[in-house]
Amino acid sequence: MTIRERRYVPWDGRWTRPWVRWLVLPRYGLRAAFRSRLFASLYTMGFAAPLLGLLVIYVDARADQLGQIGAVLAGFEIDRRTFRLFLEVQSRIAFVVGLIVGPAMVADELAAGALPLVLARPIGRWGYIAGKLATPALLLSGLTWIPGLALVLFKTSLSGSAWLLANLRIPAALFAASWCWIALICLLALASTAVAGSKSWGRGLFFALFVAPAAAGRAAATIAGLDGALAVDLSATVGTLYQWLFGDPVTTGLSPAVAVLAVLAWCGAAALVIDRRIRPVRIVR
Amino acid sequence: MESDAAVLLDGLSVRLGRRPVLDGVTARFGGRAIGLLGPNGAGKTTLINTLLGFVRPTSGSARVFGHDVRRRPSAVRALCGYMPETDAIVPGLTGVRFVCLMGELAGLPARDALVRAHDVLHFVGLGEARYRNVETYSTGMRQLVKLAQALVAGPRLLILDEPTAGLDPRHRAEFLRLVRELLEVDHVTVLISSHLLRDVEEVCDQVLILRDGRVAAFRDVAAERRAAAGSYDLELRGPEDEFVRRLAAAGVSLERAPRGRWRLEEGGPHTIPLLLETAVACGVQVRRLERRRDSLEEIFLQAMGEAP
Amino acid sequence: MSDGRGPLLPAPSLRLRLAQAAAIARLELRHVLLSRRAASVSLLAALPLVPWVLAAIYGTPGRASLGEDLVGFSHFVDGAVLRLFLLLGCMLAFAGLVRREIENRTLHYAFLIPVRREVTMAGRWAASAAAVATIFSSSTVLALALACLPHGRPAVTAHFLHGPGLAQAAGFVAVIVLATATWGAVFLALGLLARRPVGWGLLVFVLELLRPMLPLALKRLTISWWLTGFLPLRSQVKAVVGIPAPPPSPLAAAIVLGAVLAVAALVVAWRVRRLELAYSGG
Repeated sequence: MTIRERRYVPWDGRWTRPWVRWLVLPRYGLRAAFRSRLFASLYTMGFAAPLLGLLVIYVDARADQLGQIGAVLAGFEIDRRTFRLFLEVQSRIAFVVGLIVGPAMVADELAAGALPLVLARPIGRWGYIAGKLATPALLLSGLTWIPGLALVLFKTSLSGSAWLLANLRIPAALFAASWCWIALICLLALASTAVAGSKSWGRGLFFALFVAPAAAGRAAATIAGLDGALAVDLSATVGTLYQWLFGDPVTTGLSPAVAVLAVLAWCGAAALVIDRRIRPVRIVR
Repeated sequence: MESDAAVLLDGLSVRLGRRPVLDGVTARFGGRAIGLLGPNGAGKTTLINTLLGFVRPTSGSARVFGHDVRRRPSAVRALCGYMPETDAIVPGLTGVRFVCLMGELAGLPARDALVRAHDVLHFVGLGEARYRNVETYSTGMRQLVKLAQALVAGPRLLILDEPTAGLDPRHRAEFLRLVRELLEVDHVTVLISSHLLRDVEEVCDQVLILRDGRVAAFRDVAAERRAAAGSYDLELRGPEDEFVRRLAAAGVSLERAPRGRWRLEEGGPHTIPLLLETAVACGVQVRRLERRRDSLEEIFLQAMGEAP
Repeated sequence: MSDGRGPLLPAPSLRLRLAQAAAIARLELRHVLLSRRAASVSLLAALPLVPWVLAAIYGTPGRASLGEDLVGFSHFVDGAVLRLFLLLGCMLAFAGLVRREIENRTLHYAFLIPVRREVTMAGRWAASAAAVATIFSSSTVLALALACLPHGRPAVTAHFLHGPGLAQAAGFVAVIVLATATWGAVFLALGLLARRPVGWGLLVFVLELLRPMLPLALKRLTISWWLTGFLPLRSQVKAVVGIPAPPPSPLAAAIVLGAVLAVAALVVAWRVRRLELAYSGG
């Protein structure tokens, strides 16, 4: 047992580098997220598709050695559409994870009025925001591009580097498309919470942002025949980007340029809201 | 870049929206404990927010140990420990984790932050409660854990915003004892913003009084306290003028003091008996004769233009 | 006259309670309409207008008859307004009616007034319901007008002045009012029962959203399905996706919705009477 002398001693030890201090926040954030068993179970379930992908890739590559199972999968081709499907499935799981984790990042500090306390530390406001965004970004990366690239590597190890050279677009698309989705989810989750001020209302607003504009956009596309209105539908926008990045024909009715602009606009608007709301003091004008 | 003055304010003005909150504040905090006084809306919290880089000065400058708050806010924050007025705790963490997080954010390595968190929690008297979640703490414990997080990284300037607000007399005394203990350490300068004159008087050696965003008074209360050590306040009833004249003739001068009293500066060992004898001779009742105190209250009332 | 404990007051009659609830509703209505929540509800109510504004500007006239367009509008009211925007609006307005005040530690002010808590809640529910219903009814009527606009003045005049147009518009408004009252009571009850009513609200929302895909037995668990019994126009077109089912009869719908409203009111009354305000636990 440590015996402590009850007196104050100034600190004269070493310090961490200023540009790495914000990394403290995702460490605490991840610990807080995985403290919930329900969340840990849900997150673990998110690896079902990558595991299935590993199995399918293995069976496909060893079809000739696996008898009847191999014969069933003989006609199945692992190409960019397979990886896009994988990413679409993982993106839906990532949305649920973002819905749970994203608003929880700043809600408690906002509700408790603890922002002045945290922002009085030498990490800077954007360091704090980056730290708070990093937690869901890391979790979502673990569900999207990291297992996606692992599958690509696995496929390459079984099929040879020629396959990778012929399909270089796949890892690039997996990485870029995943980050579009991750950026949207993280920024919108943080912005929703910053506006709503509490975890549960932040989640509600985050969910509504994905549903309400999408419904209005789809209704406008159907009623007025304006496909451009789908730009407010986040799933249609990201779906367009996925198809475009993977080199598949775009079937959503939106042009990739509009989709890129829409994603940038959503991210920009969210960043603006975060900038206005995540401040140590609220100035009443 | 380091300066011997903890805080240097030079014509500091701050506007929030269209509202001027600080207007040309100039002061040099060279003491070890500085009290920040003023009525609500005087600009005390805005001054603290400016020092921490939360609010940008409109004109003028503010320096903390030589670092300009506008140009180098991170360097300033690295030197400051801040205890806000609000109930600002991060829920969901134990006391030790909360203080450790604050230490790590301030730049302590993780392992050292944990050790320091234990140390400062022991120092403030929360050693037994450090594994409890902070949201279960009482008001007094919350104030103490806020002090602990402000101290964890060993700040040069400790900023305490209304530190004793909501504390009962026992906890208040305990808190002020901790602050006085801190002042025994050479390293630390304390800036206390408070409504309670008694708190500031007990702890501070300099006091800045703000009124409508301007400096109403900036005094070295330690020096004034020393100067007032040998002076007395008197309350008389009867022919006061005759009494004062006779004393003046005997070489003892009395001056008018607030609240209808008289003040005797530098009362020596023979002055009091002489004063009492003269009172008997003049038929004056000495209703009160006491060592001068509450000098800060007078300074404050004068600064507010409310001195009687 | 007095036993030392102050004058005895007569037991309040039902009439007095109703008058108290009405007074609270009047006071709250102003507060609700000027709140930030009302602005968010108005934004949600404005979203259904967007497609009709765009259709009025960019739509191709004569693509369908007025009758067909109105059936389409009825589909839109069911699918977008009732099950999406109004549902979210009600969640926003009612789920936080009590919970938000507990979070802000201000609910005791409401309970300090010398009126029974149930009466206070009834007044608050009525005020919020009136505000939300007014906002959404206005936007729906406006959307209806915009839907008719491309068909020209003669057709619209004939439909509204000499045909069933006005009755249909009143029918849509009645459905909106009924939906607001029912969902309002349900979300108010959820706000009193659950610590995080938004989570439960989202479950209700997902259930309502998936209604077309649900079998009839599960459709009956949704409020919006019973509300379709009151829609003035019913589609003869089979649903493109999901499991089709005939809408309920208005009588059955009225009984079920009335029962839901009554149960929700009882739950609110029971919970609010036993609510202890400790504001603790962070």
